[in-house]
Amino acid sequence: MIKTEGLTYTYSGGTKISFTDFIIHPGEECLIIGSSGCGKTTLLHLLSGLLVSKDGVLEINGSHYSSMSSYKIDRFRGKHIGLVFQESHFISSLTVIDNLLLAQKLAGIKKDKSSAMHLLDKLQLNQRAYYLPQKLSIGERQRASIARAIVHNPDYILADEPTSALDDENADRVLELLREQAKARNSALIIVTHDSRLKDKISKRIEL
Amino acid sequence: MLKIAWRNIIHNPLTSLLSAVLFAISIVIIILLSLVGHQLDEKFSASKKRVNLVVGAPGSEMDLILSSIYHISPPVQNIKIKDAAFILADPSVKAVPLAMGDHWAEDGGTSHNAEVQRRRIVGTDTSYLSLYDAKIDEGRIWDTTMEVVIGAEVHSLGLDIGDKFAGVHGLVGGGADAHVHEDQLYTVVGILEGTGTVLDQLILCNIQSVWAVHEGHGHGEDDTPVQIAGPKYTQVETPERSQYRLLSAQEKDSLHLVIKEKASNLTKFNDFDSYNLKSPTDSLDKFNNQLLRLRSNVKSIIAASTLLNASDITAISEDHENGASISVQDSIPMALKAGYEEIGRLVDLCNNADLSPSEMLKHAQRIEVLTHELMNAYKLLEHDANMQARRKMMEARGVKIKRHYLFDYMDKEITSILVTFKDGAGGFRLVGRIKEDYQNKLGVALVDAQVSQLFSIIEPAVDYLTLLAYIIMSISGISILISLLKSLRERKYEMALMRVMGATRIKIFSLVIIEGIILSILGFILGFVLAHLLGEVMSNYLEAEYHYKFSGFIVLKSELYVLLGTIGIGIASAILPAILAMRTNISSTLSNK
Repeated sequence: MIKTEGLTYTYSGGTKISFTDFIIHPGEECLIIGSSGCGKTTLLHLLSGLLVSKDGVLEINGSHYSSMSSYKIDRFRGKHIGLVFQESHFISSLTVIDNLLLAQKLAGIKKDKSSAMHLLDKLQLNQRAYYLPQKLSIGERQRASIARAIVHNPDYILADEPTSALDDENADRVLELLREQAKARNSALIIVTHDSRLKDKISKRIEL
Repeated sequence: MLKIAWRNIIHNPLTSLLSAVLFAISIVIIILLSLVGHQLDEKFSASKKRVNLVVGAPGSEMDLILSSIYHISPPVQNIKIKDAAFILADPSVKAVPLAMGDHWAEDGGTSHNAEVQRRRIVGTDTSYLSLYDAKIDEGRIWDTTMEVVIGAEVHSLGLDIGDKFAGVHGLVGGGADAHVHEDQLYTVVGILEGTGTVLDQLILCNIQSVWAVHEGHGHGEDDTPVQIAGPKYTQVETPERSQYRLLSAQEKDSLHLVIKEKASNLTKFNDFDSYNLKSPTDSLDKFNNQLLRLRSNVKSIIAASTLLNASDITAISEDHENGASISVQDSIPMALKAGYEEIGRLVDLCNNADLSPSEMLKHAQRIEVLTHELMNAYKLLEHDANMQARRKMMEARGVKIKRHYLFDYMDKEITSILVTFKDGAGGFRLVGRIKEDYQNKLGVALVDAQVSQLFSIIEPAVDYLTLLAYIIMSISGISILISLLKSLRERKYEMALMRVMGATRIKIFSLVIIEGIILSILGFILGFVLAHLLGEVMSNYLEAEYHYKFSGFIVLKSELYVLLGTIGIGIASAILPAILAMRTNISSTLSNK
């Protein structure tokens, strides 16, 4: 469970931003929506431990990032959180399957090639498993990026503007894929976006 | 981590290759220098073995070493056996005689072609083989004149047991004007096991073979020294020798004790040195007393030395059937007598005549000169006395002292003698004697000092090349640093992604360090392979030049240290990029995209 109370973040320039209190339960879907510059990505980074705030409460699975060392935060994030970006990122020198296996390893779980291949198969990428990421099409890269984020079965799948750059058809496909995979893993799905097309598709919304 | 690091490196092949090649160049220089230096040192050390001195004709000491130990340059002149007999007879050293003058050429000496393989023919005895612990691999050792044993390397050039060949005069060259000793053919009777020393490159026979080939030939105008046959040495019996023979063993021992005692009196001559001769009139009494002591000592010495000389000769010749032997220092008693008589005359003049102070001073100075001459002569006698005492001691231990076989050829010549000390003190006394009393007839070279000097010639060049290698290695370290920084700038999102996936700062730091290590090891492997291949190519050149077997395919322990140094530079070069990668702000990196 993720729970925030009076969470604020102060940027290095001194600008302070406050966030609404909310609770997200395991397996729940949640849309964090707001206009550009309102702090959506900052909130996502706070939830994933990429940023740490000392002001307010951010509790995730009973732990607080503010009381954890950098080492523990990295390990926690690797194990419990899967991050999907608007643009897909990979280790460019590794093949798609190796990227997935690396994600498993860094999450602290045993490398399981068959489950990774099974996932790629579900995402219709099994033919691309041994390709370098830069050899894939944009759609394939997006699916592969989702696969990399969920291959270690995280408790929380955090997606940052996953559909903003896609047309309606592809946006629906990616959203469906994320919901399907989150449900299959009983993971909470948290999507941060300014894409209004998603407004009506996820019932729980936090507006910033 | 290793896999990712490796993939990252091969993902940027050109940048990685540049860093590795730069590293490789420095590795090639360092390993090549080590390989050549080590093998030269090894071969040179192996070939000089335990030899302390080389005694040959007066001239360049380095030439003596190069010609007689390493057989690289030709010797200048020969020496007479009678001049060097005291070395061969000295029980405090082991002496290996060498006689050179000819070589074997694979084309029979018909061409000047530098490609033609040539190897030296060296007359010696089995003590030369013992020096190198050489064993016969096939066949046997020479039994008689004109039989030869060949080194392992000479065998590989085509000579084999039963082959006959003519020596080509001189130690280098050939061609139409070369003198080939076709009337005297050598026969190969044995092949030596490989020793890794100069012996592998030589053709060995007894010294008489070398003389036999040159007897009757006029080689006087050649550059290469050769032996000219002379009459056999004959011994003249003197009254002193007869007198000595009549002594009992006990009397001989007593006589030797007297001589030893006289040796201890040498310090009294030194007292004389401190006397102030510039004021003879003021110290006439003291002067006279000193002269009286001197007269007494000189008289005893002359008496003892006459017998000493005889005793020395007789001891040497005791087990020789003809009774013929040498006079070690025939001229010394005569010099002592003449010196003593002149001192006596001058002392009488000083005591009895009415001399002016200037005349007195003139006589005193002459007495001083004579005294020093007598002292020098006495030192020679002392040396002989020590030799005699040593012989006695060895005989008492049951060691039979053999007369050296070359004493039968006193007027013949050899090229040089390799001398190994049995005891340091005796050896250095020998050096002193050669330098003081035989400087016009013999030259002596201290092997270790000359070899050190030889290496000191090439050391600066090696040092400069090593410095160059280290500079290149430093540049290659900087190249790795730049390569990693460039790579990190390109991969900063990947580093951030790894952090997102759970990689700790330490893991990111380690990843970059591993990349630095891999780059440096790649450079080492490339350099290692190239250095050894080049070393093998160079070994062929060195082999042709120095006739020593070199190899590029040996791995030295020092190369392990080079590898460790390489890894160290790889780590040092990667530290800064690793720290920068570790400190990357993931949030801002991802937000900036």
